[in-house]
Amino acid sequence: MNALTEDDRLLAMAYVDGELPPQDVAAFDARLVLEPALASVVARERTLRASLRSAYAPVLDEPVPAGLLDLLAMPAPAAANDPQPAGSNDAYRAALPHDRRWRWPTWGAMAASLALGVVFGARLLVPQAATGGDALALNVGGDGAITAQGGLRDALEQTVGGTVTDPNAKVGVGLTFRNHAGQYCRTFALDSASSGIACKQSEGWVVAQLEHGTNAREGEAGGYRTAASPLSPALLAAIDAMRAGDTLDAAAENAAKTRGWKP
Amino acid sequence: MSLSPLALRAEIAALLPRLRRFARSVTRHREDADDLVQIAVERALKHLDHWQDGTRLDSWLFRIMKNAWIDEVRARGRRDEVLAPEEAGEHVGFSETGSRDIRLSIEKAMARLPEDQRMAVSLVLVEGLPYKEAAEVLDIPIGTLTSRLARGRDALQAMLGDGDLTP
Repeated sequence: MNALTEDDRLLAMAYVDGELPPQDVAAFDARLVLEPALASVVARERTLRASLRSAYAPVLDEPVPAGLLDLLAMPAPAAANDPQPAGSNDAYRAALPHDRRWRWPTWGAMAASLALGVVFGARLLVPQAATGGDALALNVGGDGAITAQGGLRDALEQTVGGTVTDPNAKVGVGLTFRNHAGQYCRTFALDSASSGIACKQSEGWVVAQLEHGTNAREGEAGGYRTAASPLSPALLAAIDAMRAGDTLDAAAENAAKTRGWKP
Repeated sequence: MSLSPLALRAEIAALLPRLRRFARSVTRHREDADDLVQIAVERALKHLDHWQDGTRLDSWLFRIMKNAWIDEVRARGRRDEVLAPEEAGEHVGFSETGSRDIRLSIEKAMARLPEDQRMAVSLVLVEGLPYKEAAEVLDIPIGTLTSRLARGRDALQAMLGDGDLTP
């Protein structure tokens, strides 16, 4: 073990934690080049910090228990009224079973209410990955519409034939079909165990259905839902209600992609 | 400008994954962790007016969780001592490879840290809070925080050995 003075030990720690005063960082960097013992302590501390973060990172990807979300949902009267936010997918929303797994009506109502008094763009349901930054997100707009952002939007735009090009992708895209308005709609699964359906509209991929993860038990076994996971019965029923015609094969998906998923 | 209670609820909802992560390292048990988050969220909702605009909402919630957990541990008395009995005498270090094994080793090592060191390590190294925020969450001076961090890190390094921690 390296014998460092207590002061240097604390300096190394502060350096790794980003707590050194900015004016001291360059001098410390220079010492790291010259003092292998110090550099080795910094390397060990960096590794420990990274290991701790990655050890607990999977918790972020677990579905949040519905009981916790319910604590923070809209007060009961507002949720019961369930005002349908304006949008072309009202029909789909209205067809939603009032199942606890479908979080969207509550959040939709909340977002719509927020728009009344507060300028507020909350990112809900999909937390930032521990290391991935804004890898993917759902954005709740002022009009209550949830649009795909970041990695989810990219995956919806680019995935063809269920092929995930990025092995670290946190999202999978499954089936593609056209709804009664002729828009292309695609099912997606996030590794936070949320899944849903998004349809391409002029403003982007608007989430028409969102099922918040209920398969927490799967996560406990160490596995995470992937694009290959079977769709839930509720989601399949939603697809059947929405679709006009069959699902697209890979060639048809490719053609639609080439047209920018425009109707 | 202050956030409406509704907006605060949405902000807290967005923080739930991080609250659960903090709770997992503090309580060391999945069920305890979600119970703790639930208690803390209920307390927070009752006292939304106590949150000061311009301060960090996550720090405020971590602090509520810390207090709730201290209450819980006191209520349990020494029952806490019998937690994690299965690894008594077991070597925490790892020779196997694989991120899952590393993750379990780290969780075990964290579970063995004294409560005060574990919270300091969790807030700064896992949650990424600045020292100042972490010290406020724990109601301690920054010097106390850094010494807990140093002792916690030394203990973790000793338990995990010099093995390669990277998956």
